[in-house]
Amino acid sequence: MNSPVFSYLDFIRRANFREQFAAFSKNPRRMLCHATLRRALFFCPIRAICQAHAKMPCKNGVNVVLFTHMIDTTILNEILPLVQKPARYTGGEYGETVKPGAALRVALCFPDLYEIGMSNLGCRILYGSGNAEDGIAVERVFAPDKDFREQMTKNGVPLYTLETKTPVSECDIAAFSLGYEMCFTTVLDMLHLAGLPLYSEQRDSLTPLVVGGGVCCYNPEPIADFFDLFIIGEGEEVNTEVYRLLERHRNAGGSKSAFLLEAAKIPGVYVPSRYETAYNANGTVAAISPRDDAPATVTKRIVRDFDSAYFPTASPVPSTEITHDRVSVELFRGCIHGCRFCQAGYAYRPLREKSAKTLIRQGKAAIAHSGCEELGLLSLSSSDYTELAALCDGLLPELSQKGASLSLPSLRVDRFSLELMRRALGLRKPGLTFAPEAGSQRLRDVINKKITEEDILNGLSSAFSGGWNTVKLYFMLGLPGETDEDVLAIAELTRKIYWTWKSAATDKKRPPRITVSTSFFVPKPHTAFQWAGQITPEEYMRRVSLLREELHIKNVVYNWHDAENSVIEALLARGDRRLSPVLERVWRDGGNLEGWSENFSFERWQNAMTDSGLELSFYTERQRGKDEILPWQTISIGVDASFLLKEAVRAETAATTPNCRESCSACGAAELCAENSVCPKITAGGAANA
Amino acid sequence: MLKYRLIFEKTDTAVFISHLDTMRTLQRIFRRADIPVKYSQGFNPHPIMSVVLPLSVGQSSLCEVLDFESESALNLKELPGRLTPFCPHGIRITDARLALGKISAIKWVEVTGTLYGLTQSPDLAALCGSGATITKKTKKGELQLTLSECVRQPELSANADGSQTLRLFISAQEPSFNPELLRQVLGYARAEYRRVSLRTADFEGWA
Repeated sequence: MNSPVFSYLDFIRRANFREQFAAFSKNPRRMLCHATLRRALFFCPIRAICQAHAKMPCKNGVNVVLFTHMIDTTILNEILPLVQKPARYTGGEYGETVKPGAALRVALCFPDLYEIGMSNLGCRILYGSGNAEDGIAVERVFAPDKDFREQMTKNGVPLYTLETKTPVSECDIAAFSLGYEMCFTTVLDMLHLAGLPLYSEQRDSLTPLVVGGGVCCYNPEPIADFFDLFIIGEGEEVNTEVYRLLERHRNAGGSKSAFLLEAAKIPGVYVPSRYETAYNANGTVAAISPRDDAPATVTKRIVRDFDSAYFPTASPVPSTEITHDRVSVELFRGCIHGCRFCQAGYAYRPLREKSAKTLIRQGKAAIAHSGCEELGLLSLSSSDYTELAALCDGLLPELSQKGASLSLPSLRVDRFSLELMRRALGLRKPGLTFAPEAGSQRLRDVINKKITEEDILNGLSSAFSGGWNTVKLYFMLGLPGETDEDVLAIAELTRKIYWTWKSAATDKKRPPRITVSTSFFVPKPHTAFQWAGQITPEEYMRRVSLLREELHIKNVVYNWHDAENSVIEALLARGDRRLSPVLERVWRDGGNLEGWSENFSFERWQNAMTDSGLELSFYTERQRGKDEILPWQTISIGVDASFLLKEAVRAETAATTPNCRESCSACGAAELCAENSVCPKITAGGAANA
Repeated sequence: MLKYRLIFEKTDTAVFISHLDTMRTLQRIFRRADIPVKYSQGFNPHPIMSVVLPLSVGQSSLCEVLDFESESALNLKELPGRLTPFCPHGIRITDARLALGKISAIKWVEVTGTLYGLTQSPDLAALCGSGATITKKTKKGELQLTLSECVRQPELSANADGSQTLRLFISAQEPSFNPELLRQVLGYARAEYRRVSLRTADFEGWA
């Protein structure tokens, strides 16, 4: 155990602290129980108490394990009554993990509000798997909403972790979960609120190390300058190795550069500062050169045995309502379909299923622990789960006995799933969702989305005759090769759905509710469309108007996404390192929590781009050459670029590719060697055997 | 069918859980502890439970009341011990009993408050004796409450750190009175209020 080191404030107030402490506990030995300790500290009027894992002897000789530096919680008591939904900022939920004496403290930062972050299964997995390690404390940090942010700034409260109220700047790691490009400015805001310099090179000390992970890290370049390292792939597999390495370097008093040199050797770790990007005169990337012995390619890490992988069945249960207020199990990771626009479909390859037995056990445990009313079955496409019927049979009796229900998102609508929903939900008939993505069969072939009009109409015919009457349809506008006929085909399909209702519905007095939504296609890295240009926002709006004219159909509502938001998403998704100063500028101009439309300003982005001498359309609308060096090519998701290129060529002729169960298309993901995956086994030579 | 009543504390971080969220949290506590609660009939069944006298966010309490129905006979002695381990930090079930006493018999709530930044020292007793009024904003508009009807036996004492401790009884219902309204007459910067006990019209302990 290190000898106690006190900050100057502690030193002045140490005596006072002891008195406060004693007053809160009649039996001094109970002070070791951390519930009591928390209670004492929550009211303790000391800004910072004691350095990490120091032991302080008390008068009566009891050794008390103290918290790390804590923020002044009396200030919290003052400002929390002034803000909306303060329960988001207190911690103390049932099931949270508090490890006051941990040797390594990780701030798991989610760059959005509490209600969004707590709905994220990935964060729960990383929270639970990190805390399962001895001596490591993973604590939650969310972005504060505007009102609380204002109070924090006004009262000098730094960004803190919910569990022990430790300032993020005092933690060993600030690990950001990056799931959506529009969160990038929020990351900068959180670094600022934590009192940390934004750029990696400005942060000299080893801790807190600023780490990024999540699906946005498959092109980390726009945010590369802010982060010390990125974890490429599934965090539950890699994080602990990074934590342990950091702990060793910190204890040995090592420097940040020495640590990063070592960290870059861990498979799946990308250290952006070890790469240099050069640009051509036309703005494209000329070369990406690794410095010293940094690897030319960083390949994503995956959980190879998904069935036995860690799963959090005892997560914190929020005391306030969150966006997805339920517990979930993850049926499988990956997807067999290979839709050409879908980043998740490629990035989570290979497909790995959990056994129904495991899922039943985890589902029951999660419901029992949380007391939640709903268990969600999560996956990219639940109908593809091979043991779906057995899973529902295993879960439903216990759930219904507890008065809980199953939620089945991303289920294909057919007779089988309707029967399943009838059993799972009883009389409740939630809206049915279809994502044909494109209106015509030709364009669906282009994107390799293999749902036919017949599938949709047959599914809906059964649904309407079974009493369902609410349907939501999702499409994209601006897909590569889309013509006006393809756009109009959306209206044609919607009309057919209405006629299907007319002929199939049992109760014609209750009109159907058909909602058509279109989003603006955003080409994403590591997909078959990673070279494609995005259409202009003007062209997108023209197609929206075209469709809107045709969708004046009874009982049909048409919603379309805002164009400008998708343009910025496209900019960031395929951006390069020159965007870091743009992000900084947008944040300095007030950009924060921009996933919420009320906080988004297109003008702010336009100004920042212009002032940095960059062209928005260069990133969004430009069709990339097939031999162009792409900014994200240092990162490999296990799917070969040559496979993506082949898919891009097949898309041009509307040729479809079979799904992974029909036959292996040799995308390369088999070489990640997952167990129980859909992929053919790899022999020692590395070639796939069919 | 039996009607039960729990008394619970809401302190520490739990004071920031809103009334609605407290209800939802309690429902989940029951489910975790596997204690059967009667559900309402109908299309959207919900557990029959109610927390009486809603508490404002930020105020703590040692005497919150939860009434619920159950079709099973529950062991009242064991109930607090079975529920408390499943509560979030700051919620603690202190007592369980049959719901015999009428809620309508609660007339007064004993409240203590720590007041910070109190600049004047008004004569509260005189203020309450006079016809002074306080404005309460409701959904329907503003309501004038006579202090003498809502506040009894106020005592103010100074603390060593410059704050003041206020102890008083406030009207629990008809009209309900939020102690925060006293800011209008006391003009403090900030107050931390705590419900200490529930009393009948004669200031006797309510059971």
